[in-house]
Amino acid sequence: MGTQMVDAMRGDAPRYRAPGLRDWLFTPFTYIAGAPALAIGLAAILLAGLAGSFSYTHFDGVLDMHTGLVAALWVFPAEGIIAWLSLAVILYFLGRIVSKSAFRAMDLFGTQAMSRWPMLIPATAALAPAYQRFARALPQRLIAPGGASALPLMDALIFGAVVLVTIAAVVWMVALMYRSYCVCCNLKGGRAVGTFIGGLLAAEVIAKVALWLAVVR
Amino acid sequence: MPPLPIQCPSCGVGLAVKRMACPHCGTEVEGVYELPSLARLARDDQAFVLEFVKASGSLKEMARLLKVSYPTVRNRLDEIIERLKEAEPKDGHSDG
Repeated sequence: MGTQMVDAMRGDAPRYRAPGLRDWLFTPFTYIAGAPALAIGLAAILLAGLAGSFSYTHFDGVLDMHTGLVAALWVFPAEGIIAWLSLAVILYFLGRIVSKSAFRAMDLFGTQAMSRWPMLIPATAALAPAYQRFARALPQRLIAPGGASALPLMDALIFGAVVLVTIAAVVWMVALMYRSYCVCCNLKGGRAVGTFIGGLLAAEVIAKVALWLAVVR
Repeated sequence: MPPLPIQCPSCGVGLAVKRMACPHCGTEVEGVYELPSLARLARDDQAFVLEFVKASGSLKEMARLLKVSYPTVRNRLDEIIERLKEAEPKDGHSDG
């Protein structure tokens, strides 16, 4: 925990600085964890899945977002739940191995769920009709470059903007996942970075296998 | 009353108590006495420990009082425990 978090201590009673917008966006787990974080996270996962069901946007992996595949309504939130659990379970076991602190599973699972809330942004942005038109037309254009009609420039620009927003949201989500891991397991430095990256890669593989077993097969 | 200085302002080494006085009769005792482990903590750490004891050692209650999350409080406590361990004399004798 950084000293900036406790720099407002005055007098006899320890005090923490009241969280500002920046704290809520990038270091929320200093202030919220456990059941409240789990409730917020599950709501965000379900809402992102619901929005994704309208735009056929799938969160089919820990870090993945793909658009276009038509599927049953239950598939969309199920993908988010699988992606969340894959990483949370892996980080839980890694935390148990490398952390010297005793930590609560509820804190890690709750904050990992809440870390996925930035996915609401691309899920909503993907509802834009221009994005939908371009996403549908792009594969045909790639298969038959000369055959399909020209794609409108505005659609292409909006598609590009949604892609950029998605990349930013994924980076933000990963940053939150890392903060969650550090705060809940009391880890920092190389040990935290190394095990988090390893856990992220392993979780991506596990999520893909779990999604294949649960949804595709 | 100013806060108890715990580190030498010149070299940074932990200070020892050299003289104590009775505020009632003025009797003074001189020697070299080690500060207790808790007194060697930073002032904000001491305040945290005091509040923690007042909260009956409940991390949940501390989190509620400080308006931070449970793991934030627990990490803070772990840090203080580490500092207390570092402050303990090497021969294992604890005076705190």
